[in-house]
Amino acid sequence: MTLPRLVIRNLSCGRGERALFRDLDMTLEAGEAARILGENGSGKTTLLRTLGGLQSPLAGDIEWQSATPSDDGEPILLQDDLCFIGHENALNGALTPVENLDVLMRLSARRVTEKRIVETLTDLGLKRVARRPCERLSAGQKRRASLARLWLTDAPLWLLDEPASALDVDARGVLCARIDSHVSAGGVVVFTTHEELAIANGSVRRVELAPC
Amino acid sequence: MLSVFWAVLRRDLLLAFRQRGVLVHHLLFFVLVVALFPLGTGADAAVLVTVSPALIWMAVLLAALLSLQRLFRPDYEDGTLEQYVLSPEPLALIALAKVVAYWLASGLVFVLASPLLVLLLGVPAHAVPVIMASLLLGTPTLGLVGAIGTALTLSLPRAGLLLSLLIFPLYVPVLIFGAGAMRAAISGLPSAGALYLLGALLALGITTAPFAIAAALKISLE
Repeated sequence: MTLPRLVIRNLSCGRGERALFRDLDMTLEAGEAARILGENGSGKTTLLRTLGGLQSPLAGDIEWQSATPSDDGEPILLQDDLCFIGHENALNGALTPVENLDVLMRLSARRVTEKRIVETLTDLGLKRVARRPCERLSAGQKRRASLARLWLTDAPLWLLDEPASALDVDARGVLCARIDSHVSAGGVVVFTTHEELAIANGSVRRVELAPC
Repeated sequence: MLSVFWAVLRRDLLLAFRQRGVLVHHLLFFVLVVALFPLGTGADAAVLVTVSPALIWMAVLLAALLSLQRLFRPDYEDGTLEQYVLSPEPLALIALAKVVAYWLASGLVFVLASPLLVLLLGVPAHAVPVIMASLLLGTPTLGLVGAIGTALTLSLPRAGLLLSLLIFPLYVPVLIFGAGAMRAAISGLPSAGALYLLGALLALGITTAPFAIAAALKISLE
């Protein structure tokens, strides 16, 4: 069995024609995390969106080597192995966290029982609001509900854009522990944060985006 | 693969049910456009019957334009659209599920409300089945075509006017054959030809529009 691996070669990303950064080289092996650093507007979100495939790079390429053996001979693409948590929570205000998560998991081609979703939300301290419309949740609660995907998914590659925003100290600790356990189990994580996330075991690479 | 279709369809129908006030607004808009028209033309029954096909279809077009704005906009704003595009499942299938749910919650409601409205305009009762059939075949096409336009204009802040400029020309065939079927039915002529053409347009729409919507959504997110 091969280990998962993310290889980035000579990557230049930008908005429109204007490049935000150029020639990024990075190889992330199984069990490695990368924290993307850079000032506001340096292209952190753009990098994550490009890695996920939401926008195409200006130059360079991104290669994902999957560890999952494919059963029908078709290659496993990055999309199959991906859990992407963006700036927005992807929660619809009129639906409850349980309903939102159910659809989000199905969209990532993973089926999770409702019982498991409720259990996960309970563990994250959202038991009382699990069946309340998301528009009535606080910003921190919404973020937690959105991050619950990290406990529900078995995807090896995580792309997290400011996962700790709006979280309190406790929740941030829980998130760090989860990223840690994922990395220890051989996952690959690329994330951006403004504040340091204390990740103990796994090695966290710091990647600075230099404006060009 | 089909499970994602049902999941998205169920989600959007649930949303439509939770936000049923919006549906009522669209239906009221549709009814009011038709109901206000006779106040402008006077109470000449013959005139009303003559213009009723055009009137019903224009009301449907306007109501569709109004309701289409909300098809992808909430998902675009809350980040769910990113998850659709990132999904390993085919985006065209997800887009089709959204349009089907949209049609069930708006187009179908217009179809069901139409008999009352056309009778109000004095259209003979024998024409009602054909009128309903033409709306039943025509409104899904309006939804599919409109969804392409909505998806294309998503990233623009005030897309309403541009959307209408973009999709109204594409609505012309549906308008011609839809109103044509109604006119034929009212004057007692065979209307099957126009209905068949509406059906053909719908078949073309269902098979090709989802791919165009998917491509447009990707462009809007770039």
